[in-house]
Amino acid sequence: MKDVTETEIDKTPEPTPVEEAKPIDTSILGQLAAVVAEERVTDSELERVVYSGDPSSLPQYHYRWKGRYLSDYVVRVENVNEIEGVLKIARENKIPVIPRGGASSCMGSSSPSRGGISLDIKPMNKVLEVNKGEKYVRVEPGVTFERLDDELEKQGLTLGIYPSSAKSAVIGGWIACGGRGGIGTPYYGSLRDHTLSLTVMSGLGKTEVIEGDEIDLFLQSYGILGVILEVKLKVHDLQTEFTTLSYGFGSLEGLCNAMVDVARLDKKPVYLKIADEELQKYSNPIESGKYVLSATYIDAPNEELSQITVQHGGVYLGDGFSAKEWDLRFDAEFNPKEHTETLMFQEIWLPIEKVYDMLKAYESYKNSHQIPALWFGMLGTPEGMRLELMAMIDAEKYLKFIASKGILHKMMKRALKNGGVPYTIGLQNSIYMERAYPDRLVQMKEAKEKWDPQGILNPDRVTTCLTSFRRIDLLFVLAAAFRRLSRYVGK
Amino acid sequence: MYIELKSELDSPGGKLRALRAYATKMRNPPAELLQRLYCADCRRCEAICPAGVPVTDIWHDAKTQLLKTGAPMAESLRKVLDWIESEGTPFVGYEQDDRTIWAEDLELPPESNTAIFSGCMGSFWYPDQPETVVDMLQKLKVNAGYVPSEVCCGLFNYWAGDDKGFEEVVKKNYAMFKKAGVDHIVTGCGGCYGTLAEHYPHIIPDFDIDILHTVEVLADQVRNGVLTFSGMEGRYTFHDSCHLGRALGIYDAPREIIQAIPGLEFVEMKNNRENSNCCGGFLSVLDPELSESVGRRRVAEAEELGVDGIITTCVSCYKNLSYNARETDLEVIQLDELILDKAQASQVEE
Repeated sequence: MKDVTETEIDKTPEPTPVEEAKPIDTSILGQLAAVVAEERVTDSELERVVYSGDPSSLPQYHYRWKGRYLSDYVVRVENVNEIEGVLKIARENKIPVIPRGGASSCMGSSSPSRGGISLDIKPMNKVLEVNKGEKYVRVEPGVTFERLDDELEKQGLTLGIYPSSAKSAVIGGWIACGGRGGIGTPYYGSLRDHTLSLTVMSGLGKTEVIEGDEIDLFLQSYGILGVILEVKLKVHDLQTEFTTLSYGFGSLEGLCNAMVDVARLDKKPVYLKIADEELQKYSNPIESGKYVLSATYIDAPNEELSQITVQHGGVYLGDGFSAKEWDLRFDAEFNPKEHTETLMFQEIWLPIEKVYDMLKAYESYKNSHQIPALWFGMLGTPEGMRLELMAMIDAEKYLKFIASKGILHKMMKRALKNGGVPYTIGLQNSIYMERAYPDRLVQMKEAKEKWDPQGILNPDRVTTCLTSFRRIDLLFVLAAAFRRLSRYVGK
Repeated sequence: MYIELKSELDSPGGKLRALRAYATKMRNPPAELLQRLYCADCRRCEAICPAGVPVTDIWHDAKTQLLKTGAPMAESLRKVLDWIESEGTPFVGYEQDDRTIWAEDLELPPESNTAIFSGCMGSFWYPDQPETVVDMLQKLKVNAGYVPSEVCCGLFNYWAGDDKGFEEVVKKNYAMFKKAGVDHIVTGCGGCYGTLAEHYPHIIPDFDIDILHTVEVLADQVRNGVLTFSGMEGRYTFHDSCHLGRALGIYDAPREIIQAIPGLEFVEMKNNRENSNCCGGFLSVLDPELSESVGRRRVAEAEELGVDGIITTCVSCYKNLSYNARETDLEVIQLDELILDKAQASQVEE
């Protein structure tokens, strides 16, 4: 028998106390904490502020029409069961759910409009499978492009296509925003061409694997139909040798004509950008000309490139300048933000032949209204370009701010007449849906009825809107009239 | 911070959003906002930010402003700042009188225009480090002394947003340097170097003392052929200290020294120079577990390379990397010690 020491006697265990049953927390927060770990659920004001916005730094008055622009709860989910639980609570309590990836679109794509639950999917960031033989990868939606490329690189593979916001975006977010154009897409094809299947959970809590044409519904759906749980993507052999050639142009027409001709060549660039000298000033200043065209090719450049650009008045800007253009591919369009209080912008998806008309008009507005405008264009497909029209504004200067917004609105109306459409929809551009995507609107309304009949997922965008095109149009007409009037009656 | 803590509130974008909201739209920022601004100040987010937002300066200004408007400082941090005020070091429990123990037996010249700034880590935790600097400088025939009454460089005050405390420390140190007739300061600590070189001139507009890091001095001797090394086998990588690298842009000097060692195969980690990941050392003040986790991540990067060890210039990086490499086969080496070990004295003499 074991000797019993004094110490042990002193430590005779007391009867195990009966654990008192905790009262069930029936509040929404309590319900959410029951399905997701407590530390990943919060209603703290600070976190709600952080999870309700995106990198756009527009003043509050711009957001007033958005209604309840702060979410009520923030939930960071790590698996499918948690998403299912959150959606169930949302349906039962009729609370909106705003799925959120990297929140890098700047168009309020993942910003609430009626409070609700900000559902952060970034913790779902596993690379599930890399299949080198069949050249595909399966990932969770919160995977960053850097992480994905690191894993693919180990197998000698690459995704090959990236949004320009790749440093902060995640795969699921790019799918929800459409992924039509980006770095690599003129050569490898769009994100749609790469998406082999999506696993999604509808607003009803049903999980489905989507393939074929139905994938189109979820691309550019902004999370209004369901939450993406898994993505299967086509991948390519890793390429490491790229050559960039950059040309300066004195005339806008020469630049745009050269861009159209280069885009139509058989050998496609992985990256083709155009920009004005104002934008270049903040990234890679040009010494010759007012505009720049930079094209990057895998291995050797297109032999006809030099001939075409020279024919349209282009001047080669040198190897150092050209290499820097490729190095800055993820940064160039964001660089001006460092130098302004608010970088206001509108992104337009446009047939390449219409780019000249649009830019000519924008430059004309820039001069007539004296706004600090600048622009950037990136070839998305051999036929389409994403044109980013920007204005560097101090938002405290209300009239200037509204005037610039008005010009961007006018530019969008002009784009619509020229076969262009808003590149990103989100909360801000949903007013253009009826005019830009009439067929898509009908299709998405039907899909919304099927996938999320209770309307809990990301309300007030794509299929519905808090305001209307006419109201906004009238507002800008009045603002323009007021601006003109102010010239005569003083400030 | 975001990679470890997974909340947007710990990401630079999230923090900026919160600061903007409370500065322009909302009132009464919660106390937690101030706490969230205390990160490692490693500047990794600045290096990656396409818009070039100077977040480190923004965090500093915001911390200062929040403290001025009554936000409560964490008790643990308050204690550290109080200790700096009374004992001249952030290491609670260590006393000012013990600061110069490292120098007692070294017979340093009583007066010298070049002073070694040992820093708090060198003075209290790693006394071999300033001693190594002395040995090295003596081999190079530099008669460096020290300032017995130096206090903490003020990095903690600056980082905490305690501008008043920082100004006091800077003025105290500067007065002592001038009294001792110092016109050159050599330090082996990246944090002290960054603070002295980057922030002191903002407080003392006519700051006229040259601040040098040992790697700069020694790389110069390597370039001139004055300093050569005996051979060393093995594959080694280099960890850039955030203070020396991203803050002050010193990337080449340590690499030139390492690559001058015959037989040593130098391999870069994937994340190097301005893209180097932080070792997490500074975070130990806030959250030791977080500091360990960040350190392990950096050690894993080196392990992936299959190298024999990591060389670093910073005492704080050395401390955290060696602690987190304790269960690996990696050797963590302080560059100063490596130099002293491998320097060929005879050639130095020439």
